[in-house]
Amino acid sequence: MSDGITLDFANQIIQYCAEIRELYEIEEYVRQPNDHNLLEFLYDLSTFLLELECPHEELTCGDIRTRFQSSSAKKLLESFLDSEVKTARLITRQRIESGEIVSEKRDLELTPLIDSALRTLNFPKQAGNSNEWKLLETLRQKTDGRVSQSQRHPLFKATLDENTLPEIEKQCESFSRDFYNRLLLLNSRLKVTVESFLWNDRLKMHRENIQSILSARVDEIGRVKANSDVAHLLSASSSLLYIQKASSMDRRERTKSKQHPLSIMDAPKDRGGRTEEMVGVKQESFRQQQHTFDRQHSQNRQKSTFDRPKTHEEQVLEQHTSRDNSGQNWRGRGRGRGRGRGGGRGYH
Amino acid sequence: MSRRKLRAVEYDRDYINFDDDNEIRRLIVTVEEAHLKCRDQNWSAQMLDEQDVAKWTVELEKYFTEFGAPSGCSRAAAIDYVLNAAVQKIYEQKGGDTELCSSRLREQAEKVLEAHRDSQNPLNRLDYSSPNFAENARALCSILGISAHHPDPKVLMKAACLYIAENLGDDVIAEETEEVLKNKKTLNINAFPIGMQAPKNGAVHFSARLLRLICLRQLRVVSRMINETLVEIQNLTMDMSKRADLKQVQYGR
Repeated sequence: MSDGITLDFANQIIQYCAEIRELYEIEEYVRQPNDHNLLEFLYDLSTFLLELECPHEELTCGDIRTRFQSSSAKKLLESFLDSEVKTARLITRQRIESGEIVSEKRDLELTPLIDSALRTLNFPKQAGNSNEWKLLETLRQKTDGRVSQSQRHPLFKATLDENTLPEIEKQCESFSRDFYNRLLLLNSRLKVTVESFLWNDRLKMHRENIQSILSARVDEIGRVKANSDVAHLLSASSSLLYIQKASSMDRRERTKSKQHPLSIMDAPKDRGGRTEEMVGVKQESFRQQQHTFDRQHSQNRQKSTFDRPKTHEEQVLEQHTSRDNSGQNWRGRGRGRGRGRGGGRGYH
Repeated sequence: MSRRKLRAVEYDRDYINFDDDNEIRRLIVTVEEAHLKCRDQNWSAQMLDEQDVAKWTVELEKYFTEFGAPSGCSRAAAIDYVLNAAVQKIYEQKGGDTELCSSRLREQAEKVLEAHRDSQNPLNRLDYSSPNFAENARALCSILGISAHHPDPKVLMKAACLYIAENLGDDVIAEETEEVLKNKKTLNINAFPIGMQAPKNGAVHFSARLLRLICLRQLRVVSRMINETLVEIQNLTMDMSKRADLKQVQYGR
């Protein structure tokens, strides 16, 4: 074929990818190739190799349609994936022997969810010999008692029949794929960002700490499972429609930083522009204004220099620090015009 | 080269700086000594003791070439060739395809999981395929107002439990009084874009809007996790001697 990938080769590759995906339990997968979707297959393969942290630039860089044209690139891809299959098997064997696999998959599929629901309804943990069906009955009763107090309601109420359900499941798959691609992008961007910190000489002494923080977080983010499935669709409540500020403090509880003190401390005293807290301009009579001007004029004459009258901002600042006239409202505009006329007359 | 391969060869670190040949030397020497054994016993010690950087770098390049790394390839790729050989050797030692094929691993995993299933949790005794379970699932959905038409009772039970966990907590109910809800701004779901061609079926179109919102909310959670990572690193690395003085903010002149 024109892009150098034959269907036979693509099918062979996808078997490797399927086994690697199963053993590593990763979410990116390479779709089954056919005559019409080879380009999509290549994009999937590219994403998959990125997830595997493939270091070979012949396989990860360049035009995706010509990347696997040469026989050496095909051979390299095949040997890389074959080695990755063996790596995956060894790691799975390690996890079985060390018991790590047990700590992750101790319960039946729905047990954590039902436990979580019972805890939400303040139902205490039951002994091992409790009857499981009585627990479900209790769950129903407590739910019935609680649901009338809630202001929320489910959003999706349509009937799922044999026409709509397959379409919805296709959508779920599409949104899940989109989510995992974005997740991979965000994780990659995080890695690049943090590793660029290490170019700084001062930070190199923190490198091991930084790397351990980064690897733990990248693993945690990589294990996020998409919520785009039918169960989450059915359970979507009206709270999904709430609009919240991105900067609201309850959302930034753990993203405050010493680098951004305004997110931590109270706002500073005066950032300018809060008119309700400012002390207003003095209520001067015309005579007082004239007196002030005359005094300034006299001083100027003595010094043989011109001292301009105070600007509006200077006057406001002076009065802002004054203890007199507290609580008066600011009405500087009218007085400004008055001062202007006075000044003009003075020059005459 | 990936962290997974470093784990497979039982290296004591999960990260290698490819710009630091000293780290690369340490990795290669460790893998050679523990698994590959292509050189005599003194080679590893000599490599680590050698003071002349040029000498052990040349030896390193020679080692890479022997495992198939083409000249001029990146350090990461060269290391991958060596690690592949090490993985191959370990794989054969542990029984090869006979002992380590996927189906056998699956059987072993299932056996281990079955033996360790938490017998102290009565919920682990539920039979998801029984009529009793299906009845309970549909009843829960009916109480909550969730559409109960999905043929799989596991999906219905999952939906009900997710709804309960998210919406029926004491604090959630106490916080959201009618007065609070009046002040809350809400999105117009009917005008929300779905980012794909609009389906003709109304229910499918509505479900696409909801799925888009669910996806976006989860992406915000991921973004927050990323921000937490950066903040944690910043708190570790920032220079406190340059802390800003916020006691007085100047205004005007």
